Amino acid sequence: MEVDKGKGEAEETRKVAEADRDTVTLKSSDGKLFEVSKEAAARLSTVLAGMIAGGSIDDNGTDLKQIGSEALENVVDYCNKHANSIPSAALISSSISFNTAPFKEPEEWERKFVDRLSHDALFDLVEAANFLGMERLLDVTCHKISEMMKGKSPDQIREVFNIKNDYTKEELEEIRQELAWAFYDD
Amino acid sequence: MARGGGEWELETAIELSAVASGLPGHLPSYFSGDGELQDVWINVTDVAVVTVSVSSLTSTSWGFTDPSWAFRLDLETLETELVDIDDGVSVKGKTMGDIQGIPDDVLELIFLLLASPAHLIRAAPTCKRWHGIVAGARFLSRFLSLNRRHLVAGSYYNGRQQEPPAFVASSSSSPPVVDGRRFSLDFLWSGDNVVVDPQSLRIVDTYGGLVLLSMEPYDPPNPICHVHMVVCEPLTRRYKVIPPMVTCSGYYHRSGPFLLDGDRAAGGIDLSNFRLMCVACHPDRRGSYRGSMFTASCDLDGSCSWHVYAIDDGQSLRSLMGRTRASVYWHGGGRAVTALDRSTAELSSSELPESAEEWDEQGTEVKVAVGRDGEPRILAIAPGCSVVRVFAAAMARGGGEWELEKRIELSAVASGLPGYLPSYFDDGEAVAWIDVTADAAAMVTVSVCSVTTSWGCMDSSWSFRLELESLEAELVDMDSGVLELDVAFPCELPWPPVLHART
Repeated sequence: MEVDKGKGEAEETRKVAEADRDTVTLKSSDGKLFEVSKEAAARLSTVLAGMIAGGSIDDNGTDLKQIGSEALENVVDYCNKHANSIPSAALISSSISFNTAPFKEPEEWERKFVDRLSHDALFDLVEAANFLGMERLLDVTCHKISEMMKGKSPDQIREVFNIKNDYTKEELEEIRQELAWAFYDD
Repeated sequence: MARGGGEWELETAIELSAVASGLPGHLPSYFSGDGELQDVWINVTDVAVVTVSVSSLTSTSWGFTDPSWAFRLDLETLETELVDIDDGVSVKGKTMGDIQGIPDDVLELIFLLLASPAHLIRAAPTCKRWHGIVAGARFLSRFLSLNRRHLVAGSYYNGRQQEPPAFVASSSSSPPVVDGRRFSLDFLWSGDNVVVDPQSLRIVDTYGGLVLLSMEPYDPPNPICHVHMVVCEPLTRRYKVIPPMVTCSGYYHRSGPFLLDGDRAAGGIDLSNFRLMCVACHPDRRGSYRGSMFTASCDLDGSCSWHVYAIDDGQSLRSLMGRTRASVYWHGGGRAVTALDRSTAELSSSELPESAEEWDEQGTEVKVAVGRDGEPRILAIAPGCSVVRVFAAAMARGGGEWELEKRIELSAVASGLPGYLPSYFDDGEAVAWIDVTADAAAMVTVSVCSVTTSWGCMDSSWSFRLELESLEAELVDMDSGVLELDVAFPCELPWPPVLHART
């Protein structure tokens, strides 16, 4: 099924939803509607699973006030891609967030999915995945961010992630001496 | 030209003073190039949009510079817009998403996935908030339990023929996350202060991030023996000279020294918190062993000394089988195995299974290696025998029994290798032995010598590496692979890292 790209075709979405009860409609903070497979949503998101089981799904669009339309579109996109991909029981149970089993590397399509995101979209998606209890999506997006940190100096990490350096010059010098072995220059 | 080579040509040249002169706060000196110390740089903000930042301060020793004035510039329309420096987030990226909006527990997950301590140590001092998350004891122990294997930075090898010891970065972290030069031990002998003569002191043990150098044991051992040793921490280039260990009258130095955790409640090991253990035996009273322990829980400069570590009569430490990260193992004769726990400094006994092959038969080799699961394995090879028996601990450490895990037919695993001769493992003419050399888990070297001397054969004429679980064999190039046959002393990155709370 084609995903509504959030251009406000609420009428059309509602018709589809009525025709096909296998989907749920989600509404972003800025009022855009997105449709997602009910099965995939319940499987990938503990929060949506709870809402579906508890009957608190609104056919006219379940309000997700904490999630902007860009992030919600990515969430829905991920769910739909996942629905076409593989059974995910193993993926969910392998989540690093809940136990100490080794993290399962992202699959090729998951890697591509996060690679095409801008930094901002990636950070927003992390927050959305965390809010919706989507462990696998959280793992995959966090993995991407950790990859962006690897091999970089603290200064380069600040640059990439736009982080304000809140240390004094003296504190920085102290840290640099203590951890000199990690900060070698090539 | 499109991608894939070709040339670049100048598309446009933008005069910054021209596009920026209308903006509030613009000073002609920013782009005048009149020699004042101005730093101008560009960050890519979006498609065709860059941010131009100006700082009039010189950069710090970290190369970190705060912009004092910045504007966004559209590269095509040359439209400009002033950036509000004080809101902190808009200079280098779009304002919407912000990694600092991510909650602490999710940042923890991101840091756990960094896997290598070296990556973590670079991310931690980025800002006070991140530092606070990483410095937590709970986080550090969780990180360690997930990433233990990434702690090994590489291994030391004692050089041959008067060469000083060499460090080889671990092949499992590629590219290496820490510069191998950081692990050099040259601070012990270069410069004015020669602490160690690399020709008389050799590496005898490593544990955590510490390296223990000692005199090579005499053969035959001298009854009154002064064992000199130095413990050093290569990454911090610090060392501690240990007062000589003098063997007690009537006892012969037998094995050690070995490095153990310090006795502080917090555990762990560093240069101010470690213990050393030596074992001596009495030649006349069979099975009488005596330990000497050195505890360095005091300051680096404080005086510490050796004291007696009593060993029960029942515990035999006859021949050293090898060491793992957790323990040091001896074959006590017969079925007896004795282990020294490196964190508690306690000895424990366990038993090998009953076996048709006699454990004490002259020449039976018994060695300890590490399995892929990180647990110890005892390997046994009898003289003239073509089978390696592999034993695993039936119970986790702390005694119990060992049980046969597998039998490896050497002729079967080696027959496809170049230079293989059926006589190597066939008729007992050749002598085969095992060395636990590599720092990689489950990897041993099997060597064969077909020429025996009166001293017993010691130079291998043909060797191969054997992975104990996959049973994959690979020939060792005897001409180039000197290190392949030497014992690896793995060295870890310091853990927990020095992270003083600065929140």
